[in-house]
Amino acid sequence: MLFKVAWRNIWRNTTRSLVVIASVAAGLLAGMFLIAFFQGFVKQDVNNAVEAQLAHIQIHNPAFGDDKDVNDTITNASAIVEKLRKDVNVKSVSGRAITMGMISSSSTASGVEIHGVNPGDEKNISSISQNVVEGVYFDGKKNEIVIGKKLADKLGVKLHNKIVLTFQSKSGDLTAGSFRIAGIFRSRNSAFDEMTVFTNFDDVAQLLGTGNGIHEIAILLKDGQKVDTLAAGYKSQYPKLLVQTWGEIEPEMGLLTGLMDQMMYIIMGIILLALMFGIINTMLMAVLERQREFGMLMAIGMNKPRVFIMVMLESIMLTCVGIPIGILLTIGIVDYFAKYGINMSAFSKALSQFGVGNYVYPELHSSMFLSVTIMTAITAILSAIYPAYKALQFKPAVAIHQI
Amino acid sequence: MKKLLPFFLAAVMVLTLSFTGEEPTAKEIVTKAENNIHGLSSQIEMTIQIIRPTWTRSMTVKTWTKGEDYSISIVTAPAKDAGTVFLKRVKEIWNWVPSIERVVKLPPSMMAQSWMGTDFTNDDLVKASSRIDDYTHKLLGDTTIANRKCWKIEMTPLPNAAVIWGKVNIWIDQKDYLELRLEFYDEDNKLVNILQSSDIKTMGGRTMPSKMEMIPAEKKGQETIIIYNSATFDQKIDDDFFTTQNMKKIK
Amino acid sequence: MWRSRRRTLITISSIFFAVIFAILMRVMMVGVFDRMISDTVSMSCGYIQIHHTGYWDNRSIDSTMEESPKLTSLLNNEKQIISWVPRLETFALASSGEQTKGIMLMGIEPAKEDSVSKLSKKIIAGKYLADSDKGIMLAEGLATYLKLKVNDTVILLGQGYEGSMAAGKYPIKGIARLPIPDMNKAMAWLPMKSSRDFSSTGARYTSISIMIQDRDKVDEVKQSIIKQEPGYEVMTWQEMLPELDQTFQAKMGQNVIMSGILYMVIAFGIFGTILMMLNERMHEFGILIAIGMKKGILARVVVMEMILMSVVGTLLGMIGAFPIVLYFRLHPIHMGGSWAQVAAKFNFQPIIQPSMDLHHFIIQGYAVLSIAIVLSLYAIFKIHKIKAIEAINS
Repeated sequence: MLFKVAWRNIWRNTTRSLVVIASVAAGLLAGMFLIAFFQGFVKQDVNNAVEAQLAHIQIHNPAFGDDKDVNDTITNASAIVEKLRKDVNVKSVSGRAITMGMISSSSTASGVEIHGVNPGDEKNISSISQNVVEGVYFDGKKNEIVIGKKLADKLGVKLHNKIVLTFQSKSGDLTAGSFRIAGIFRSRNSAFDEMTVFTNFDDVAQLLGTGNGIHEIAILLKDGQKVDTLAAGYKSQYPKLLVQTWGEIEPEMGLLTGLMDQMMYIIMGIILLALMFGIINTMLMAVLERQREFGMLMAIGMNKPRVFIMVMLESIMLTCVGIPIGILLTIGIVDYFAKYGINMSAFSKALSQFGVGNYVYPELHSSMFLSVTIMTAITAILSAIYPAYKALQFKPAVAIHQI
Repeated sequence: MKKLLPFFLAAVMVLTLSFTGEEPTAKEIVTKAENNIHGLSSQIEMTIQIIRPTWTRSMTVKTWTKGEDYSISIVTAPAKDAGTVFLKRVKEIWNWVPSIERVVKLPPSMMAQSWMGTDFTNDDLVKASSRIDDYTHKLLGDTTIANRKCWKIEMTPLPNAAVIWGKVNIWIDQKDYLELRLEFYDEDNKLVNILQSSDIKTMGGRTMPSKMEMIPAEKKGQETIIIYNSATFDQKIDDDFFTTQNMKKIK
Repeated sequence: MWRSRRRTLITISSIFFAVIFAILMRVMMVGVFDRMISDTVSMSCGYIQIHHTGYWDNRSIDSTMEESPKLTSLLNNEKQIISWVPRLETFALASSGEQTKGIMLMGIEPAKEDSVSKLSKKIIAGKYLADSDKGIMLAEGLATYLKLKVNDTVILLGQGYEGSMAAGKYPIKGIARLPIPDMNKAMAWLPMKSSRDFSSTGARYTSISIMIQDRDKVDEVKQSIIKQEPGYEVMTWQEMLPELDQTFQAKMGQNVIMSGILYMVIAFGIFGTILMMLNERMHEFGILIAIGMKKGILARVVVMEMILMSVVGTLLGMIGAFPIVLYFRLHPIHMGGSWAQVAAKFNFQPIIQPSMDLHHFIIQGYAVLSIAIVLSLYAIFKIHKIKAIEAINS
């Protein structure tokens, strides 16, 4: 019986009801979008680094470590690479020959880390190939090299200039080779640009004397979220090798993103609070408006608990209507942006230098969906308590005479 | 008489050939000049002057070499640096500093660093490339430097050679096959370095320039000058003179 | 307006809370950014750095600046500067006999350095340096690479001032862990006197790093230094660490979107209140119009009322936010969980602390006020639509 009354009450004042419904829907949308945006943002940050250098998982010979001795190759690397290529979870895999050395131009020299890669494979794993600002990412000629813009500037060289790479070969001798600059790249990390150079696997291997020796296997997964479980799987599959996730290789990556995660809870809290107060105020105003109505109800015998429940029911129903609307809106808006992305460079001049990685794609996971919905619902209902309580305060006689 | 004719003709041919003295090829000239420098063994005392826009420094160094692959040098002045030893074996360099009593091997990444603050790099000492084998040589003609007639030869690095230069011009004295001047150009044909040798004297029984200057073309007021004070050549030195153990003992 | 106190109070309070929330959110975000920048900058280049002209591009030990009493007193007297440290930085080779690595050697004045970069708190083994120490401090990653521990000896070789050779051996007094991996693998510190002896520089520095009070005043302070002591190269952190600046900009972009979301929620709340208020007063309006008040004038009066309430609400909100922000400033929020553990490992403070910059209070107040005013214009629309008789009967 109360339900029917409550329901009819709602629709008697459409404006008021619509406002509350809209507030609830907006609150839901706000909460969801916020989280989706955050998730997308963090993912973008991570992706930028993962795709540029780290990849999801890396495998090394445990002795390789920090001194990167050229002799510490991975045993059976080619077999492992082929096996990984066929792995359903793996999007792409690349085997790299890595050594420390020196790059010289006619004016200067600089210490660098030389990555000998298979361009076809590497292209699928590293976004560097898309960050080439001059020239191309390998043209198929012999002794090509791709270097970072910062390094090119430091060495005073341009596209197609010659440079010499000097490093220690497998036998400990100093070896050198001249290479031509096929492309110049620019990533978000200028320290990386200055320290890392890319050559063709075969060209470096020839000089190193390591044949097919691979120092690093990089794996890009189809689903980045599964990185920990899959890494564990590989660790047990290859117990003698060092299998690491990007989080283990660069724990500092997680630092800043973790900070933003924590911030998210606080922001969420503030938004829900704002929502709550907004609804309280609206409802209070509504209750105030309905003084005469409440006074009458109580005069004709409706007792206080029932009035309270009635008002609460109204709020609950309004919330129930608002939530589905909010969900629909959220799906629509998040989907739209998930497809087209939010162009962050519109907000920041500095970012517009980089073509790739400027778009944030909000994304929502079903678990988040549920929790946000529940939180919003609870907020809405809690907001109704105070106004409902206030409704009881009216003295019937006074109320009826209110204008 | 008829039997003698072929001999006679042959003799005439041989004589004419040796008189006309067929002009050597550019490559032969460079080969002879390079081999000139890298004699069997040597002991040299030199003064090295480092000139910069705001300061100048002088060092004296005693060096022993054996062929291309082994050399050991000790700094004898100024006092602060005296006793520092450099050892080169083939392509590796070690450093001994008396004040710290340690031998340190230079990693490849240090090769870029200048040697003792001069305009020469550690890499220059190690000489990863060969002027004979890594270049093609073209004779450009004759010129004169300091009253000596020279060949001017243009050296272009082979495509796969580990040489950073676009081209190197070399002036070789025709009488003694001395390398009097080298000009190093980058790929855009910009002059980057000049290596100039002068003050030709007889030292240790050989004719050689006693002053060498490395002048960076772009940096004003900057150069390194090496002056050879005395030299002995072709004396017998054992291989184990050039070891890390010996670094601590030589004076 | 005071006729219905309840109504008025409700309206004012909706603005009041809106302003507080807007301020809180902005202040928290800015506080986090400030921290981020200050933590990074204090470890490396400072907010502002002074060098010999040309040093930044060509980091040679020859490009040093002399100790200058004039500069010292300028820095000590500048109000915005809370601390400054001189440093002598040079590239050197560190060797343990087995391993050799190129490193960045920093000559520091230990006490001063600590006040800026809190280096002593990052020690994980051994002890912090003292002015007259003969020992050296290494970064954790470097010590591991060289396979050295506290009390072992490390050799340093390098190029000194004016071409002289720099060489020395030092006992390891302490090992520090730095949050930035590249720095953690390649840094070492010596007391200023030792490093000057190593490089033979005499009384010179390669840089002076400065920490200032207000991040926003960086350019001002830079210009002030240049004006008073020309002849040096003075750079801001944005010029020295352009990537940190970029990251920061990206986070600012994030901030804009989140503020947008908050404003949207606030707008709904305020709008709801306004709508309800109008609804409630329909009867009153109806009568006023029936007795002859022109709609235009009524509209203007109502809007004025609302603006007045908004202004009061905004002012109260700004004042009310103050104690809340102050509380969090003094008792920052500590974060827990696995993130906090990682942060602690790198000595990154796992706290969220709001900024106290009153600027933000004013801007947010202004923003909410504008939203409220724009929304209250709806009243004009509503009033003009009134049909008197319907209104009276509502």
